[in-house]
Amino acid sequence: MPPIIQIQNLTKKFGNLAAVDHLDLEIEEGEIFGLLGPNGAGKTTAILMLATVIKPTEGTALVGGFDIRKSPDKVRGLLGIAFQEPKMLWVATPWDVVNWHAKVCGLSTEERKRRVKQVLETVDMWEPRHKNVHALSGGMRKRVEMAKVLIQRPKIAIVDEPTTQIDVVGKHKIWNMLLELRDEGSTIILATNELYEADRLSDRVGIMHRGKLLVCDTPKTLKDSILGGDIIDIQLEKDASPTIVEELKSFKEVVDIMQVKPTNLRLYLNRVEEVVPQIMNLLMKKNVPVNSIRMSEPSLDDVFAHYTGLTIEEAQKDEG
Amino acid sequence: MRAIWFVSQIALFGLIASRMMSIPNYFQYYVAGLSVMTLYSAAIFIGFDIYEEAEHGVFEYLLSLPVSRKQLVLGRSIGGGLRAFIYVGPLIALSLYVIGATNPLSFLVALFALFLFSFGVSGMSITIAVIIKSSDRFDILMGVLDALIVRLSTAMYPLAVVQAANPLYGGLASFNPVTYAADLFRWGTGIEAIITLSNPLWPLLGIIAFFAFFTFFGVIIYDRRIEGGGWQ
Amino acid sequence: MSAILHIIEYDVRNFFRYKWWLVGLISMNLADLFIMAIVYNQMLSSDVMKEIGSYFNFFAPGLAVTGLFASAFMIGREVNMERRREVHHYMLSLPMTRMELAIGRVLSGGMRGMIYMSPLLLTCFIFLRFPTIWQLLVILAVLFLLAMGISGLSIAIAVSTSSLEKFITARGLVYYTLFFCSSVFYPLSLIEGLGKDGKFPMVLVTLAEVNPLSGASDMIRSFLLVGYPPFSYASILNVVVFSAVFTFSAAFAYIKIIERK
Repeated sequence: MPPIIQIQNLTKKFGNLAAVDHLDLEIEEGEIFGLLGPNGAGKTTAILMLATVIKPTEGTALVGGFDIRKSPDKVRGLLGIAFQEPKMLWVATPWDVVNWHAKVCGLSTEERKRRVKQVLETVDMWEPRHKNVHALSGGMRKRVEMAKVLIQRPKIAIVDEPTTQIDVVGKHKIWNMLLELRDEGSTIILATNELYEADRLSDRVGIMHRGKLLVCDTPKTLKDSILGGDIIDIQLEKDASPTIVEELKSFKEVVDIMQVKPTNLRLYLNRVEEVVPQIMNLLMKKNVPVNSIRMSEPSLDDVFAHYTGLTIEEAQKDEG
Repeated sequence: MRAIWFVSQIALFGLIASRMMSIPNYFQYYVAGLSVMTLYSAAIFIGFDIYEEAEHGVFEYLLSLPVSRKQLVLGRSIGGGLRAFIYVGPLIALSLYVIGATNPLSFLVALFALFLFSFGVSGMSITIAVIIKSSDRFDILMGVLDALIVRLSTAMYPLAVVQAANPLYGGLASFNPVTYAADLFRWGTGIEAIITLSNPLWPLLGIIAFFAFFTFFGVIIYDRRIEGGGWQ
Repeated sequence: MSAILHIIEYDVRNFFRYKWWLVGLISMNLADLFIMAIVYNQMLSSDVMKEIGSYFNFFAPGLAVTGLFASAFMIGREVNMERRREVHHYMLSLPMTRMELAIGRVLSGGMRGMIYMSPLLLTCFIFLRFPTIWQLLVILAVLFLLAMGISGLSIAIAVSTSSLEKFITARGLVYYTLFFCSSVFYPLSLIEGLGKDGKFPMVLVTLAEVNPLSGASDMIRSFLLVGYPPFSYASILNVVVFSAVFTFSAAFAYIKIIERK
């Protein structure tokens, strides 16, 4: 089956600045595709081009087989989008927003009535459904924005930073909703700068930085691809001698060692599960007592840092 | 927007409408009234600011300041009036240029009256905003008030003409701060002959009473309404 | 077609959400008619009185037209606000063609003008006289065209101005120039007289003559104030041309400018 979205050389320039720079990407039907990157990386611009809201400067994309340049009306018939900033007039109420959206998307009167209630209840917005949008908190508005996509059940759902300004409980609810939407058959593009969110939800992740797609694969493959991606923090009872550091470095799986404190060592290595027993044996043999040992897998944060040389916070500042 | 309105009212409406009126020098008469209408609409704005502040939580901040409630409301009311006066100042200067003031002393008295009028309108706006506590209802009331208070005044036509058109309108226009302010301003700029304002004392007392009532009544209302979250 | 109806529904619903603004506007309009116009009756010069008969009767049709103008123009403020808050991204992402969206917006602005103006027009009929059915149809058709043109004009301004301040300034200039350089408040002959005397720029006199607000007001007057001013096809043509120009320019501006960003 051909990919549901094929992005070819997609570029958007604002003056001299390339917000999206020759983007090539394919998204498979039925997957949650995480588009990860700091603010200003070009995620929203790419999404707006896919949704035919803005026109590309160069390149194009096929969405469900339709070219975004040649058949934008057909493309819009397949898409539903929850914007980063909720898009609603401040005099409207959540009920009006969702009900009208459902109407425009072609839901029959009967189905609409049933689904509006159901969706607003799901996003915990049934109680305040008649309040003016301006009286709602940022998180509530965000949930109304999500409700538009949920009621539409589009073939392709685009959600742009769906959980910013939302508390932890709310985040989990929205994540579950996205998973349900995927299970119902929608393909989802999740643009986010939250690494945990992308890791948890995405079948595949694409990392964007300065308008370019740096890498794209499943979260596991991306994490495994980092040489020295596993981390062990060892706290010794006494200061670590240079000899012991050298001996630890001699393991071929160990890529690097950082002495965080005189007694604390951080080892970057591969195949952590195989090498930890060997390290422990060495330390016992050398009579170096260990207070604690902590192992961690690389996160997408590490993947991001690996490919950009920056943490996502630094990249955020950089883009800003 | 207000400046465009003001200038177009003078250069277009005032100029053309004065040609169809039987009153001599209606153009100058109208320009003077227009200044007072503009001052009114600028000073009333402070009430809308209060709702804006309440919506954005600035109100709580102001209430948390080490300032007594009385000082706060007096400050807001005088600040609102002063702000309006400064804003409308260039427009008043333009109208003075068009009319031409003759007696500096009378003009100073009129200007003082306009100051008090501006503070009074600002105090009235704050008082109503705090009493009503609903921005929608406030908007509606202000819209209706604006329509009535300006049209049932001598801002656009002399009292005798209003009286002749409808005695009820005339009665209401006689007890209207906009009438007092407009008549005093005309008296101060030397076009009193048209409006037969022989004694400026009556409108001056009216303005002082209006200012005093809404400033001090405003303080009391404000004080009572806002304590303990009563404004919410 | 259903997409256009949805857009109209969206805008008409939003119109009634500004109820406080509508109450303010209607109060102002009623005060203008029942206070200002009645008092003005007392101070008109005998020449003008001879020409128009009663200022109240003269002004009532003009007031209906100004009400139509103000309410139809309001759509521009919303379009501008949507653009500033990027709500237009949502509108552009909806499953409908750009043409449906643009026509829907212009039409709904016109509908809003007609809805607001209806009670004012009815007031005219009650206080002046009821028109014949054909006159009524002509009045409604011309006013609807005018409302469309105004709605189009306001949308064209709204999408061409980047900030609210610029929009408000442009709106002010258009509003007051079209209001005051028209026969809404005073007979056209007065403005022409001022022009002949050299007291008013001829360009503004010409504007008043071709102004669609003058055309629409005088057309209603010609039906309701029998004989004054005489019915003129030229004034209707002015409205038609104005409507056609601004409906299409708004549709073009809405599609081209709003999508460009």
